[in-house]
Amino acid sequence: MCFALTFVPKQPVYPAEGEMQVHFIDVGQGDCIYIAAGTENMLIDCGEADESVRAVGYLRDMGVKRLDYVVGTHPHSDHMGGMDNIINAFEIGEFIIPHLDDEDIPTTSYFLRFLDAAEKHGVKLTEAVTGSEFTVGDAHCEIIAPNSDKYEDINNYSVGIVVRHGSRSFIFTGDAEGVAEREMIDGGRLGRVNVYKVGHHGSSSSSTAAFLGVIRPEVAVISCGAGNPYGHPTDAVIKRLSAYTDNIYRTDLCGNIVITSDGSSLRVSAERSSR
Amino acid sequence: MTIDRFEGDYAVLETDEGMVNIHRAHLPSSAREGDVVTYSNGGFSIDREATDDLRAEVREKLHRLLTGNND
Repeated sequence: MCFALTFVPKQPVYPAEGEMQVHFIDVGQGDCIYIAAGTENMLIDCGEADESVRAVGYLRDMGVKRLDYVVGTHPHSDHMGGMDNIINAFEIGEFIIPHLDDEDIPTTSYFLRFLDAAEKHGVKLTEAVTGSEFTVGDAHCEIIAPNSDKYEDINNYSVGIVVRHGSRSFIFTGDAEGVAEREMIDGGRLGRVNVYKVGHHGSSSSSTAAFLGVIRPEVAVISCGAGNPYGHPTDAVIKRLSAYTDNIYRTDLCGNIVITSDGSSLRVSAERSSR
Repeated sequence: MTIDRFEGDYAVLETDEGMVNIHRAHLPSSAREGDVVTYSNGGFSIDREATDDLRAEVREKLHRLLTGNND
């Protein structure tokens, strides 16, 4: 007796109709966020080179083969260290990076590997245009930062994005610090958001009181590594956040965190229960 | 080695062995993100020539890729 073996290609796992999923992928001390709505998707950052391998596995397990948008918020290894791995693993629609002043062009090997991979695969590389808008399925994305051509600190070049899905909204600001947060406020594009991906892993240089006073988040997600040497997240930021919300989720404690929007409400699920 | 970034009192260096944290105070006070540094005689120094050469190489490649997409 023999059995016919049928190989069924894995189908991409899209969110249910009308829903958007935002995955905060645990990449240790770094950022990696995957957003899917309808049949389109976007990746924001990928973590360190070795951690990005885990991110590739996570995405492949969901059947992801193509990324419509990839955003490298700013050229630091904990955000873009493994972008060559991402480019080598997935078809990419458009890759967005911030404009960098010539004096601030990175000199790191991982950034060169990223450029080489982009060149090899013919990836469309573009600079973020603040104020520009695009859609990911039925989610509406607006680039709100950077707002200057030159900064003292690379963190402040971070591409900032507000993603709106129905009446629910998310804000991602990379590692933008107080200077860039102030510019976002002054840019007039900010309002209350439901979910805040806490800037710079909870460093006290970000999440200023003025910024939080404008976005007034309901839910905060901190992407950071257990026992990181930088003290992220800082007690100061946890205290500032707690003026607005007690719903603070951390990847170092919860692992992967997924927030699903149906356009009017949110559901949070996490790999581990502790916040 | 290259300075990737500063995190509070730490500098994060990209080395052949991966990313390494050192206390910022060990670097010259003029050190900036992206500087190539060398370690000898118990101290770090900035290699300006190597930094400028590397930056020019990356800048050329980056600008070529960005410009190529505007054709």
